[in-house]
Amino acid sequence: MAGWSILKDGYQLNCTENRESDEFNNGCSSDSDNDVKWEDCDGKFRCLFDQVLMVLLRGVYAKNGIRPIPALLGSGESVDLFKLFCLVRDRGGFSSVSREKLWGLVAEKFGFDYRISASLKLIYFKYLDELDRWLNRITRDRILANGSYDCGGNLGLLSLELEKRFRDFSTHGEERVNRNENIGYDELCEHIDVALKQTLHPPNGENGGTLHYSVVDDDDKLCDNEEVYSKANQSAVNKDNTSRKRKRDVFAGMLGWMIKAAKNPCHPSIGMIPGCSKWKEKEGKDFWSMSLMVRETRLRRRYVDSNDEQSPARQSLELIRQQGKAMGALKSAKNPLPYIPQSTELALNLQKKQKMHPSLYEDDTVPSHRSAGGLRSSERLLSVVKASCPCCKPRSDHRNKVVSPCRPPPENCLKEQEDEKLDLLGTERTIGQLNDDLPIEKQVLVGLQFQAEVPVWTGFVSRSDPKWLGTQVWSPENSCSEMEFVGQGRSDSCSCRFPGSVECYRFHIAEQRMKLRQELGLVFYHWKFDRMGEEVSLSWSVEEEKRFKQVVRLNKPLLGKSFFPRKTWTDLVSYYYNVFLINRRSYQNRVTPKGIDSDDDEAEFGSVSEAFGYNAVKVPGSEPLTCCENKQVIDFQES
Amino acid sequence: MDDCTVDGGASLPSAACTDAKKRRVTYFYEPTIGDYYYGQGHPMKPHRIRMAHNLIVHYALHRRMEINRPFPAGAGDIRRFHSDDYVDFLSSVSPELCASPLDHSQSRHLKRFNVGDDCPVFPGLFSFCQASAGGSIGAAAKLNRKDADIAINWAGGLHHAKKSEASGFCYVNDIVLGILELLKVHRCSVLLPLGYLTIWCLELMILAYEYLLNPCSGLKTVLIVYCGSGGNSLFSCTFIVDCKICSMQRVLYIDIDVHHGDGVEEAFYTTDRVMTVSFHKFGDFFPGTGHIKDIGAGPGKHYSLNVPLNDGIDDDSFRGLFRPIIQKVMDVYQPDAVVLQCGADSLSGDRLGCFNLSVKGHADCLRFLRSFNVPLMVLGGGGYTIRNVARCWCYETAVAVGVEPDNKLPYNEYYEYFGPDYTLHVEPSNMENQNSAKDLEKIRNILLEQLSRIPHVPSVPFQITPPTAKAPEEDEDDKDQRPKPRIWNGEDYDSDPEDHKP
Repeated sequence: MAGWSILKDGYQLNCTENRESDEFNNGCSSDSDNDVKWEDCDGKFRCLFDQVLMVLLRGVYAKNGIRPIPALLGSGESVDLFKLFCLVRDRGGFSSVSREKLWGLVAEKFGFDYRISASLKLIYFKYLDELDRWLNRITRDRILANGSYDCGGNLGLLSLELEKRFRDFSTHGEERVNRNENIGYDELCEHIDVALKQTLHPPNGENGGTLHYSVVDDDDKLCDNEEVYSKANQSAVNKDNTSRKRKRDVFAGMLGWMIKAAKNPCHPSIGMIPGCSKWKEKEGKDFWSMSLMVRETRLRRRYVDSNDEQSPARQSLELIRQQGKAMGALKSAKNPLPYIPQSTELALNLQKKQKMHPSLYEDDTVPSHRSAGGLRSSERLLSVVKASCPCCKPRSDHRNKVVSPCRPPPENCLKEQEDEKLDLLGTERTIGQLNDDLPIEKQVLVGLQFQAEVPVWTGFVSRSDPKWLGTQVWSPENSCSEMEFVGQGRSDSCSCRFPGSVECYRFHIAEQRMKLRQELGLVFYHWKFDRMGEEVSLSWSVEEEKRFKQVVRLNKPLLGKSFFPRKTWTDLVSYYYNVFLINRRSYQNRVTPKGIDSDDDEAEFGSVSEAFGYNAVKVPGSEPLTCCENKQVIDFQES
Repeated sequence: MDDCTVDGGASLPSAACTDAKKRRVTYFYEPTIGDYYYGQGHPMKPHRIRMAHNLIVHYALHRRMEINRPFPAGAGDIRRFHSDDYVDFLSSVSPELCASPLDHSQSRHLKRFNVGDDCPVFPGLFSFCQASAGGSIGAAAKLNRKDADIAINWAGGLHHAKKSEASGFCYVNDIVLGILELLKVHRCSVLLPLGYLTIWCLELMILAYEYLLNPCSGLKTVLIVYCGSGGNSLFSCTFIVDCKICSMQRVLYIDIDVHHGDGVEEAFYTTDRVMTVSFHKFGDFFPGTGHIKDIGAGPGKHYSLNVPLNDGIDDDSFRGLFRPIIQKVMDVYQPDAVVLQCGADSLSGDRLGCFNLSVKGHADCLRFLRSFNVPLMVLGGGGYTIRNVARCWCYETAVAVGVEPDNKLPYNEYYEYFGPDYTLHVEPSNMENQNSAKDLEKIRNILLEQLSRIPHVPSVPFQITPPTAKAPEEDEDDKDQRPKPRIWNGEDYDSDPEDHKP
């Protein structure tokens, strides 16, 4: 089986080799369906299928969104596309299967539940429909009525036919591939040629099922190396199967881990990832540290001449190899550059909707808004490293640090300076390249499933449903007088004993509320002004308020309702914003005016007075006023 | 700060246009909006809308406005943009449901619709979306009925939500729903009896023809009341022409949130009935879209505009881009209505943003648009330093109603939030403006050049000629506009959607 890794436009389609081959083996051995002879078919044929499909996926589907490989059902099980393709074609193709309602049957052949048929249909449509149509076209064009592919279970014929067309594809595909798109289609076609040759003349006459080459890599600088490698590797395969497995295990294991981490960062098997400040002290024994090194290597290797024996890329590769040995995994080191799938270094950063391991964020330790920006910018390339790295200064050092923080090993100390320069150069080029050549930025997706349906302008109009006007609560006619006071602020005159104190403000706020209630009348309550401000605490007992403070201090989820069985979540939220935060802010305003922050829920807090509840709204010297107001509020709530 | 109280009812004169006309302003406010809570540590806080409202009322700005409580948008209304399964999911999901660990399909849905991390499931999620969307659709309806010149919904502006995906704290794209309401067209079925009717009444026939042939003149709706009784009696018809009602042919959407307005851009990427213009931080920043070369596709080509900016842009630089670009857009596109997303995270000192705008600089965009005297919908959006959000939206409400509010905040329930200075305006920080004059100049020129490619006033009414009837013209210039991967898709080359010039 071919281990694929495709990198395109900043997204990646990824599949690990071990996983694929496992599935292949399982699928082949376990399925004992006599009706379908798909398992008879050669692995070479399967390889061809995979490669052609991959080209199609890369090309045709690129504009319609990404099709991750392997195709996964909603439940997480992967679908053998080849098998699916064969099964459906055996039954006359997509339309006929749909017409005859045979999807359930297909699902059964797969050993899936009958109910999964809709998903299978969708997967077929998304992944294979284009291939299907393409084959049909080719058939029409080239093999006029020669190979009718509806011929039941005649797989031999089908296989011949497909093979022929695939070969056609590899020769003619080049012409058809649009020249403007130079992301390695030519290489791809070459690869397919190579693959074809090898398939048609399998080395040692071995069954194609164990054929093994890395096919795709759109990094043209690496193509040669990897081809050499894959060929060499292949010969190694033929000599000694076990060596292949273990050798490849180094990265396969890591890739598997990374995929797992990407899918489910909190899974216990992912293990602990230390904070990035500790990345420097990497041990190299863990998958995460390996993945970091691989990423670094890949980043460097791309831009530093690989022939330069002294290049940092070479060094870190050496390092990886040593560590691979240490793990007892890497047996032979014949090849100058071990094959590392293209996607690894970007797997951390680029996966769409990636879910980072929580510890990689670490942004709660960075108080600046930059880190929080990272929270939302997490989908951008390199931003994760930047955002998650407290050791990085936000801007100027950014370029130095984009390369993952691991350093050359101690024995290379002399060259460290030089390396750093190269680092800088390399990453700057990386960034330049990212900005100019590779369209890393997301494209706007076009299609029925993305755009709104905008009606065509006909000139006729329709009345908007009057329900949308809502209920009018206030109209400007309500206020006849006092027009001159619109936009007026507070007056500076204050006869309070301690102007600027909490009490002073509370008094004036209460005054203002009185005036407002007079003006608004019932609207005051409609807008829930009675539930704004510190008066919210009136419905809380002193005990409850204390407990609330404790809960917040412990940084427990605020809505941990177990603490407050009698409160609804609205009560808790209302109390938090109207009482708790105001209290914290009045403390900050007076004690730490330079460090004010109402928006960090986790910030430290203090309070000017311990007063909550009735004390909080108690205003010295204005007893009657507050009391009467509070009473009214309560009266209203009760009525 | 200069606390110049502006005279009486006159609107604020702006540099571009010294109009003195008072605007009728409608403002939508849902009183429960402040109690929604995204979760601990989440930067999005609906409480800021309540704070803004509080300030607005304490400044007595409500005396110049009509204030409505929005009608909550139903699932069916939300489906006008969003996909069915996504709306079903949103309307059914709840934190309790998510907490049950074994619900496999639920967790699959969470993943599929991108609900979880940035967009958590919180109590009352759907009613929050309903209120937000209801306010924006209400604002659109208000403008459609010509009942208001400016309609404000600070709970709206959630511009990241996609057709079937939540994104960047946004679940339901109220902006798209509001714009669709503005664009709403007549269902012709009501007009069918007209032909029938004309047999009986020649005068009415003439009227009807006038109406049919000249839909732009009056933008009327026709109401026919059938009063016929018995076999030989004529139809007695009432022909009501209501000139107050119209809908919009072209809508301009402007986004000054620090984040790119990707959801709205995507929704209207292929139509020329909506032009989107977004000013945003670009490069290593959420959501990653909004390249200057993204200009729209198909019939909507050239009708998406993106203004990528760098950290620390200040009032003057921003104004130097905003005014000329919007001026040209207004000239060329001549929208029937403008939707302005006033995301306040472009303010200085925002928790997530990185711009350096003052409240006045931010509100200058609204001031400028107001001066065109085109129906204007003003929506909220981002904004994560809540005290500044409240300041900004309060001040912008004041600009809308034509009042220059006092810098010294009136006493209000949330007074302490605005300490230690307790003023309406805050000084921008001294952060470095990473946008060099040269860069800005370049961006401006590119965009103005792009705008000049727009044929003046697109989709003229009764241009029924289907675009497919024309042979696609190969436009050499357009090829390098957008480095779109050109991909072999079987027989024919991927035809880059060309302009279909009328």
